[in-house]
Amino acid sequence: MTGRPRRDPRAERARCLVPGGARPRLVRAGWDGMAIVPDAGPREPVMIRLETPAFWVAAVVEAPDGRLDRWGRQTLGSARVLAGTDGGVVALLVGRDVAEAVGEAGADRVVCLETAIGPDAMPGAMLAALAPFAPRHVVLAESPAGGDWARRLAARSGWPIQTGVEMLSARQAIRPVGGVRRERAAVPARLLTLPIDRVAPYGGTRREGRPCPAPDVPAMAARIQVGPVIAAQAAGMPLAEAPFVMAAGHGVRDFDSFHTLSRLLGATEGASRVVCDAGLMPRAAQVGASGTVLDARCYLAVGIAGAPQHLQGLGKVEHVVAVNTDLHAAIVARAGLSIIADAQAVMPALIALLRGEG
Amino acid sequence: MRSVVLLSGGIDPVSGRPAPPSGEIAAIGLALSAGGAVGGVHVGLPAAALGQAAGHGLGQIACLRGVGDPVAILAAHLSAAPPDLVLAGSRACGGEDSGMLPYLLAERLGWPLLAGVVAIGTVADGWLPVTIGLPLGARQDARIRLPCILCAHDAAPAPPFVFDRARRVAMHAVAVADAETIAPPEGTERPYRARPRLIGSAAPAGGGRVLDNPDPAEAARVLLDHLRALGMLDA
Ligand SMILES: Cc1cc2nc3c(=O)[nH]c(=O)nc-3n(C[C@H](O)[C@H](O)[C@H](O)COP(=O)(O)OP(=O)(O)OC[C@H]3O[C@@H](n4cnc5c(N)ncnc54)[C@H](O)[C@@H]3O)c2cc1C
Ligand SMILES: Nc1ncnc2c1ncn2[C@@H]1O[C@H](COP(=O)(O)O)[C@@H](O)[C@H]1O
Repeated sequence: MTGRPRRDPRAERARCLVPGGARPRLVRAGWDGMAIVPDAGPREPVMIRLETPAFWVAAVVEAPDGRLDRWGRQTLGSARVLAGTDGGVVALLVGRDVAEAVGEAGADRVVCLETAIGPDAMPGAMLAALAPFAPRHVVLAESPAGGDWARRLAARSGWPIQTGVEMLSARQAIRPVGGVRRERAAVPARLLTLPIDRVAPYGGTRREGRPCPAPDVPAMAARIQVGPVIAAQAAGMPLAEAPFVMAAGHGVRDFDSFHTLSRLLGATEGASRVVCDAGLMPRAAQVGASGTVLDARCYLAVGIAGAPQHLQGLGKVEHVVAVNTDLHAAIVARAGLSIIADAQAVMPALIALLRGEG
Repeated sequence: MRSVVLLSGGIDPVSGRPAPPSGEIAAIGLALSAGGAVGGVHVGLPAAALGQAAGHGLGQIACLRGVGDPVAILAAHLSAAPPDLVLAGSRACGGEDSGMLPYLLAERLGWPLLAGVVAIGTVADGWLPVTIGLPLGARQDARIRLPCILCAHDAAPAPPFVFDRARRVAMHAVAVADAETIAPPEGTERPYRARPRLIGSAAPAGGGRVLDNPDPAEAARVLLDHLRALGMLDA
C-alpha cells in the first residue's frame, strides 16, 4: 500500500504525556522532559497569618466528636464571606479541639468551649468568649443545637437576628418569610443562622487557626440539667432517621447472614424494591423513589444494581459502600468503596471477622 | 399543673390556607400528656387556624387584643396568673417565622427554656423531666425547673384531630393594655424564589476505590477498615 503514512495515536499520546500530576496532561508540541512539571513534589505549605484585622466575624461550630463536618465548614465559609479581605474570622468551637482543620476551613483564631456548659449557660459563655473580638457578625448553623444557641444569644444580647438565611453575600442576606411563600432581602444582621448546603465552604489558602484561651464560665443556679445523648437503637429506628443503613438487593440470597451482619454492624436494614416485591423484606424497608429517602451518613448496598429510582433514595447520603458482582453496576459509580465479589461469600467472611474480634 | 399553649395562627406553606404549624400541634400533645388544665393563648384576633389547632385537644383559647410587641403582651398576661408550663412550637408559619418568640419571652420572664422536646414526664421535687429529640433518632434526657417554657419538636407525637372539638372551642377575646411598638423588619419583601442548594457536596466526586475480585477474607478486612474510618462502628 502506498499513500499517507499511518499514525499511531497511542504512541503519540505517550510521547505528549507529561509525567507526574494527578491527571494526565498532554503537551502537543511534544514532551521533551524540560518543561516545568506542576504538582510534582510536595509544595511548601503556605498559610495566611492575620495580626490585627479591621474587624472580626465569628462562626460558632459544633464538633462534639472532634470532627469538623460539612455544615461546620460551610458556617466558617460564610463567616469568611462576611469578613471579606479586611476582616478576620474567629471560630467558636463547641466540643473537642480540631484546630488544624479549623484553620484549613478559614478560621484565623479558635476559642474552644465545652459541650458540658449546657444550653442555659451557653449564651453567657459565648458572649464572654466573643467579648474580646467584638464581632461584627456571628454565624451559626441552623441545626438543632446551633439554632437553639443562636436564639438564646439573640434573646440575651438583644442583637438583631436573621434565621435560616438561604443566600448570603457581604452586602445582603435573603431569608424566607411568610411560610416560605415570600422572602426578605436585607443587610446581614449581627446574628445569622444558615441551613445546610447554602453557602460553599472556604476554599482558599490555609489560615492560622491560632488557639485563644477560653473564658471562665460563670457559675449559674442550675435551672436545667441535661443528661448524656442516647444514640438510637439501629433495629427499631425509622429508616429515614437512621445514620447507618445496610440494604439488600436482588443479589442477596442468604438473608440469615444479612440479618446477622446488620445486627453485628449496628446498621438499620433497608432493601431495594425487587426484594420488597418478593416479600423477602417488609415494604417499610424499601429505599428509593417510591420508598424512603434516607438521611444516613453511610449506606452499605449489598447486591443492589443502583437503578435511578433506587439512587433517588440516597439523596443526602455521604458515604456509599457497594458489594456487587458487576463492576459496571450504577451503584459502583456512586460508591466510595466497591467490593466486586459475591455477597454470599463476603457477608459470612465479615461476620466471622467481627465475631473473631469481639 | 396548669399549661398554656402559645398559638400563632398561621398558614399551610403549600396551599396558603389557614393551618396551625406542626410544632404547635405537637405542643398541644405535650400539654395534654402533662395532665391538668390546658388552655391556648394567641396574641391577635381570632383566626381560622386557631380553631383547627383546638381540634387537636384545646377547650378554650384566649385571644389577647392589644397593639404592640406580642412578647410584652404575652409576658404581661402570663405573669398576671403564671401557669406551670408554657408550650410553644418551633416556629410560626406565615409571619416572620424566626422562632424567636419563645426565647424572647423566656428572657423577659426569666424562665428557663428547652427546645426540641418530644416527651415530658411527671414532676418530681420541682423538676420536670423531659426528653429532647436530636437528629438521627438520638434522644437526650433533661430536667427543668418549673415554671418553664418548652418548644415542641416538630416530630413529637401529634394528638388526633376531632372536628367537633374544633367547632365547639370557646375563643374569648381578652382586652389587654397596649405594649411598646417594635420596629418593622428591615429590607425588601418579595415573592419567594427557590434557590438551588449546593450540589456535589454530599456525593464524593467521581467513583471511589474499587476492589475487583478480592478473596472474601480480604474483602471483609477492607470493608471493616473502611467502615471504621468513617466512624460508623464506634457506637
Ligand atoms: C416507577 C418506579 C418506581 C420504582 N421505585 C423504586 C424504589 O423506590 N426503590 C427501588 O429500590 N427500586 C425502585 N424501582 C425499581 C428499580 O427500577 C429497580 O428495578 C430495582 O431497584 C432493582 O433492584 P436491585 O438492584 O435489587 O435488583 P437488580 O436490578 O436485579 O440488581 C441486582 C444486582 O445484584 C448484583 N448481584 C447478583 N448476584 C450477586 C451476588 N451473588 N453478589 C453480589 N451481587 C450480586 C447484580 O450484579 C445486580 O447489580 C422502581 C421502578 C419504577 C418503574
Ligand atoms: N401571635 C402569637 N401569639 C401566641 N403565640 C405565638 C404568636 N406568634 C408566635 N407564637 C409562638 O411562638 C412560636 C414561634 O413563633 P415565631 O417566633 O413567630 O416563629 C410559635 O410556634 C408559637 O407557639
